[in-house]
Amino acid sequence: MTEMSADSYGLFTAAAVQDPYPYYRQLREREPVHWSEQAQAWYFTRYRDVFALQTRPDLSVDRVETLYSYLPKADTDRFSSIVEHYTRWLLYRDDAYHDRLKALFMRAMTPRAVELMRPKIEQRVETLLNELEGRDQFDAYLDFAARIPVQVMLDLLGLPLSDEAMMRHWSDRCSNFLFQPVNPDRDALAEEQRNILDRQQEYFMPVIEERRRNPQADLISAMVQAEIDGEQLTDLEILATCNMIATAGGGTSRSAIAMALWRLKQFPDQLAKLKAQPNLINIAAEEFLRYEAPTQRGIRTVREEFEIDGFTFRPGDILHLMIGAANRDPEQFDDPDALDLARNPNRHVTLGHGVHYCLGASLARLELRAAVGGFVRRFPDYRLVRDAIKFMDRTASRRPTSIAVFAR
Amino acid sequence: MAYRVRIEQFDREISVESGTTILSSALEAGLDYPFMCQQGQCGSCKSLLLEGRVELGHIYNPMVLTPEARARGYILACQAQPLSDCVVSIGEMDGLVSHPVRHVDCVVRDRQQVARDVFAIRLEARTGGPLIFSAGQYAALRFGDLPPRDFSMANRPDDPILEFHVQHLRGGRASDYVASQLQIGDPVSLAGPYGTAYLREEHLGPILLAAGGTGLAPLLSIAETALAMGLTQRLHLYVGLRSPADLYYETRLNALAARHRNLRFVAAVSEPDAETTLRRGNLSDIIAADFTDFGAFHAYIAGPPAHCAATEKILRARGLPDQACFADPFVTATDR
Repeated sequence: MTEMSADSYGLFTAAAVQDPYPYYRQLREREPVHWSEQAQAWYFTRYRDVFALQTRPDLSVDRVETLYSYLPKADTDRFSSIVEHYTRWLLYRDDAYHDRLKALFMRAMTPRAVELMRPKIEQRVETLLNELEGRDQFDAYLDFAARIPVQVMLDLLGLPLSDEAMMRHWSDRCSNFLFQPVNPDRDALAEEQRNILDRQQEYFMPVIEERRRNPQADLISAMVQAEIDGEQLTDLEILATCNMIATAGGGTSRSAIAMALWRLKQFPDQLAKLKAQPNLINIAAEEFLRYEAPTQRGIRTVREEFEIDGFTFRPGDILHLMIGAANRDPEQFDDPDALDLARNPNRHVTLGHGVHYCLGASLARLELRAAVGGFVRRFPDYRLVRDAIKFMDRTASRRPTSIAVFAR
Repeated sequence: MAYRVRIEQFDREISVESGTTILSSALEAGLDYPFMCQQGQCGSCKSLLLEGRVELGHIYNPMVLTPEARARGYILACQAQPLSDCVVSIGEMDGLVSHPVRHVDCVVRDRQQVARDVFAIRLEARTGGPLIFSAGQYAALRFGDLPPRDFSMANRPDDPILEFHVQHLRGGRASDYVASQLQIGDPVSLAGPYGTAYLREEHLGPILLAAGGTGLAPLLSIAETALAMGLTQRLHLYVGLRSPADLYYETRLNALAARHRNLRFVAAVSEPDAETTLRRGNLSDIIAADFTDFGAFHAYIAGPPAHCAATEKILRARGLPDQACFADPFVTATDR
């Protein structure tokens, strides 16, 4: 094994956190199926492998083992309630629980249902843009991109906008735990998680109780009323799902919006095209999702032995589907490192395929279109204060820390 | 090789080269076909394939085109490539269902008197069908040589037998005909569907269904469709009648409510007799007494215009939002 492959071609270096794409390219070209010692997992960087694995029905998304590995070694019992919480996320389930909960969300997330949210979402975007109007300089991530999805999730759950800051903090910290910094302080992270989950319980339980008495047209009400095959969701399942919606739905979209605004400035011809043709945003959203996927890996566990390229994968093996690498695979995409807003077809793997296709896909697209389209219309001459932006210290997701811009 | 694809909503036939999608050819032909992502992901171009065969395309959002939807004949126009000449109907335009109006020749399969002055008739399509509609819509029925009259479908959209409820109005020619002359096997022609008071499946809050008399028909279709789809929020089905002799389907509705915990069925009579166990009073007063706040509701109202107006007024006064009230009042010959 060469020194390069020992550290997965530098994938865990600080430079790779800021810009993983050159590292992905090396991996894809030299060792498209790669064993990572550091992650104790197989990495797949080719489009065709990632797509095939996303659509493979016999892989598990169960994360119990990996979640336990995030806890302080000496103290796993003390923190096992954290793992129990996350195993109630349907995102990490393969079983009947996944299916019945998913049926509920599919109805709430159909394109038509999402389309009906458009006026409210556009109004949220406009209100935020109005607040920024008149400022010479602001943060396109913290003051704009990061706020919209959280507000949308609050609307969806039927919670007041006054809880935005708290909800955003929770979703930030929960995703930080799930995606794990490169060199985590396991004790501090677990302690923080337990504290947040306790506070979420204090916050959500009375809301769930109130919705049970007096159902509204929101997702919490839908969950308390849901009864599938004679079974109702427990309060802890509803609580976990609320956190999942806030974290998975609020976290990924904000990164997508922010990275789109950042990347557009690196491809001025594309920005000009979008300004000239505002309707291009409908299809451009796919290119933003391809070019910078907020979630860079899908993690799966092998249940039944199979082979790819002469490698054998055995039950229990952990597979990392490197979404960001697959989306830049020249075998699938012409000139993959160019941002081409009109790219069509554009079958990126950012939202997954198959059984675990992103439930919030339609909503994510609508938010991305409304936010980026609205921003470019309002601030057509925005400029980055610095060309480079700093990303949070993790490799499994791309999350900017800040994008300072001049309004004109 | 090119195929001819007829698109019902535009009443136009376009030519689609093999290897080309229906959407791209439609747009090239200048048609205002709904679309957005062109990636099989958003569902804006979801359409029903009425005739012919297509290659569905192999990458699309499985939530947008579910296996059930595929089995019912739905396609995504941005992905589908014809393999033969086709007829296509666009599912929704501008967010509203847009089933094309069809002229269907039917025969009477069944006719039953279900209440003092109410007949339930069941029709089977012979030519021009099937009638594609959404639960809550209506059609114009033509009996013999009489002018057409509007009646709502009481069956679920996936049931091939169409059911209508006819209130016998003194002097109403169509209802007189149904009450006294219509026989099993008679032809009935219909045109439809019409109406915008169809079930909005995406709503998550409670639903009120308020029927006056045979206004029960479309609301029965909505309730049964909603339950069959697995909607789990509370459904409150209210039926307002003049006297207990006007009530029909009581057993069926009570059985439905017993089977589905989320369905509640209430019948009310404004001119009760001594023995009745039904609620007593005007339906709008009873609804006003039972609810304080409709802020999270969708409400469907069907029946005579006076019933619709009185009910809507109460719902509005109790906070029903603007976009949440769906009604196509029956306008009878005497009202016109």
